[in-house]
Amino acid sequence: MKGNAKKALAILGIGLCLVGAGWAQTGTKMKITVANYQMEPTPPDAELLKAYENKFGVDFDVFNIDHDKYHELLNVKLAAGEIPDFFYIKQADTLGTYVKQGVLAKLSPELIQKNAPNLWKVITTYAPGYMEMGKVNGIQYGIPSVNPTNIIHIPLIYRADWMKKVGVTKTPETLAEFESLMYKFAKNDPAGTGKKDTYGLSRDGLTAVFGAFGLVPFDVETDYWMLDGGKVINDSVAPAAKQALALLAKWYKDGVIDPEFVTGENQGGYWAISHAFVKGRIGFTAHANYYHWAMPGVFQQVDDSGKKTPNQPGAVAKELLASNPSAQLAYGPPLKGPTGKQGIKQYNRLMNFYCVGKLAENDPAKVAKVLQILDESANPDFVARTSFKFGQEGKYWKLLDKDSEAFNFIAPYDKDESYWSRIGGVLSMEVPYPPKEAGAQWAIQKLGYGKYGIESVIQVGLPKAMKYKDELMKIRDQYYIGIITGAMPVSAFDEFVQKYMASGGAEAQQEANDYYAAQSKK
Amino acid sequence: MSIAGHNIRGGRGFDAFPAINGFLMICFCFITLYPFLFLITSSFSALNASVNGLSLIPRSFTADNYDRVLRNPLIYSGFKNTVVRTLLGTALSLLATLTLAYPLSRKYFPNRGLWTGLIVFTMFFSGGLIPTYLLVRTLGLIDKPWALILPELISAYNFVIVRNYMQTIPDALEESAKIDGANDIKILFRIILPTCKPIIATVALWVAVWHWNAWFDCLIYITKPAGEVLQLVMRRIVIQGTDQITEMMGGKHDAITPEGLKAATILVTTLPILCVYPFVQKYFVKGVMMGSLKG
Repeated sequence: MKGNAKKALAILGIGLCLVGAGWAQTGTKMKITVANYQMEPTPPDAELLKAYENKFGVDFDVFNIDHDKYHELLNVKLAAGEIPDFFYIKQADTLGTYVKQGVLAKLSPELIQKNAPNLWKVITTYAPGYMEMGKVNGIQYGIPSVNPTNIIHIPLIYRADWMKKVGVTKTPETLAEFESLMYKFAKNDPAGTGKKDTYGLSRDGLTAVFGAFGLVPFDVETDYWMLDGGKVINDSVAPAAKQALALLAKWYKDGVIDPEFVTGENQGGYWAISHAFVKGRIGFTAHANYYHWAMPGVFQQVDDSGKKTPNQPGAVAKELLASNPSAQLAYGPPLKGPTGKQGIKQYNRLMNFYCVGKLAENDPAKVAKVLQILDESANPDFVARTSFKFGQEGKYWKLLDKDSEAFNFIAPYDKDESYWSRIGGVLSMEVPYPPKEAGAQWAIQKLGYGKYGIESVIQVGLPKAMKYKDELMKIRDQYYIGIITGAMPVSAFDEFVQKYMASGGAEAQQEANDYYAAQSKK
Repeated sequence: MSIAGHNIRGGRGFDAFPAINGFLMICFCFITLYPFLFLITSSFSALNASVNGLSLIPRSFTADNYDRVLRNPLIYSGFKNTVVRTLLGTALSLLATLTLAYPLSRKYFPNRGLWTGLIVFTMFFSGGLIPTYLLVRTLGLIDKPWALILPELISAYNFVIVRNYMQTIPDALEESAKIDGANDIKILFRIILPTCKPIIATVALWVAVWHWNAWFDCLIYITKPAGEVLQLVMRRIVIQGTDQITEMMGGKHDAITPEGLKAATILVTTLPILCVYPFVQKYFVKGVMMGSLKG
């Protein structure tokens, strides 16, 4: 009996060791939790996800946070202690908040350079100064995601057929010429209906007027800062804004500005459509981006067979032509104002931050792994880095022309906006390789839209500015709209500046100046 | 008061009131109904109606939108999840609410005031999003369909209404059953529940509609797409294109979900509940009045 029992125990013991060894083998695969921008949730067995698990030798657990309520849901997960290793921050100005909460791992330029050399190179080459924006209190926490096409400022779109009707041949270059054209659009019946049912411009057109004074003071959800005599001030309280507002108040009184401008040009649905413009209510807009307004044939692009053909119309141009086939568009340069400035709003190039979660900080191998995954987005080979997000070339998308980096999605993925989230392309980030595609080249070379864009001198969200932002923007909207509609006199601007500064604007300004001085020293 | 055509003073003159009243009511109904009709039109049209104007007849008829909606696998899995959740959730909610309300409606139940008071007290406060999430997570319900049913199983409001209704049932009924030798459970299921039919139908309707429409709990508790409910799938399709940041991230797509597709999605997901509503509507009206607190 004893002998048999001993043998049984021995066999059992060996068996357990083998099982344990086998289990330990499968258990050593690194697990990485991922929170990134997703348009659809990713099932755990998604094709690309499995491929990358093999490639990087890890197991991914994707949080599947809905992009619409991203920060709200992320905060819930963080409160529950679920900190993602691959940590995406959608609203760039919240980086400081997350650092304060202690949920981000400390990185360093050396670490990034070592594990993500391509990423480091592309950001420091094409977006100098942006890597420093990921530093909080001198320590690098986040890697910026820089939008490559935001070097193109917002477009200035005119109804060319209306211009012909009122006898203007050239798109305006100065604010004075612009004013004359706007008055003609409002007064001289450019649509030929015999009724006074047209206006020159609406809400987004105001951006062009402010731009002529070198400002982006209004209608932006992030603070735009500018230098005024060596000091950093918020565009909303710049002295030149008063001049611009006086001009706009006059135009509103004369019926040149659409009275419905307060509610905006878009009436819901796809955000880029300017319903006021497409329905023929106004003759000028600066809504959306350049590629929405490309009329068919303004540039050549490569089609499915590899030949050069005229381009298809942009999304909003298509809507315009569908409702009014005889409409024509003209693209104008940013306006020169009476103070000698020229420009128009440019979206901040800093979009988001990619960080590593605090839970990974104690495991240098994990930190390195996350950085290596991020590096894949910056792969110098266009096909490789595009496949990283959109899936295999030839299956989901087709490369048409290597030089202009033109590609098309293969049916049915061309109509399926969010397929790349579904198949697992959720590990990528935007990198600022200069845009080579035909549409961007048209905007930069032909229209010259790569120059004169007004960016904010500070693109990160500073703590005090974030604290007071909602209140300050409410005050700003109240006074700006009040002055333009004539409910308040132009002199109310001084009262506005006082109120703005007293409600936290002065603190935010001081903080901005300190930050700017510190950054300039580096 | 006038009765069709004859006014109260006994005269025979034509009374315009019913005609005008009826006409105004029809106008009012049309105004309420029109957005829905517009949705139907939009779902059958290929053009973006917001740009091309409203009309009752679709400008360019197409069944394409419905084709795409019905080909989306998430619609079917969403539908299944929603139906399962609604049926199971309603049944369990009813069971729990009824068995909670019955003892607390009996006057002889000890400390009845205390228990009722505690339950009503919970109606005034809520822990908030994060504590609730932590609770559900600690219970191990994340990614399980039970996370959609258990947290909201008993609504204090529904409990109060059921309890009040049960209080109106005469004690004699119960006593006579006791004399015949029935125990409490038999009394509940054989005697009390059959008389509670209206309130059961009402609460069932409220709970069912709540389950059908719920999406936020699914958003935070379920992370795998196969477990999503229909409303979540629909919401995602309908809000597409409204977020400007989306475009800067998604890149090259020109094909933004047209409004027709969104309208078709809304109709496909709303139609089932729309069909059920007329049949239970009379209980709805009766039940609201019955559950009101008296004295």
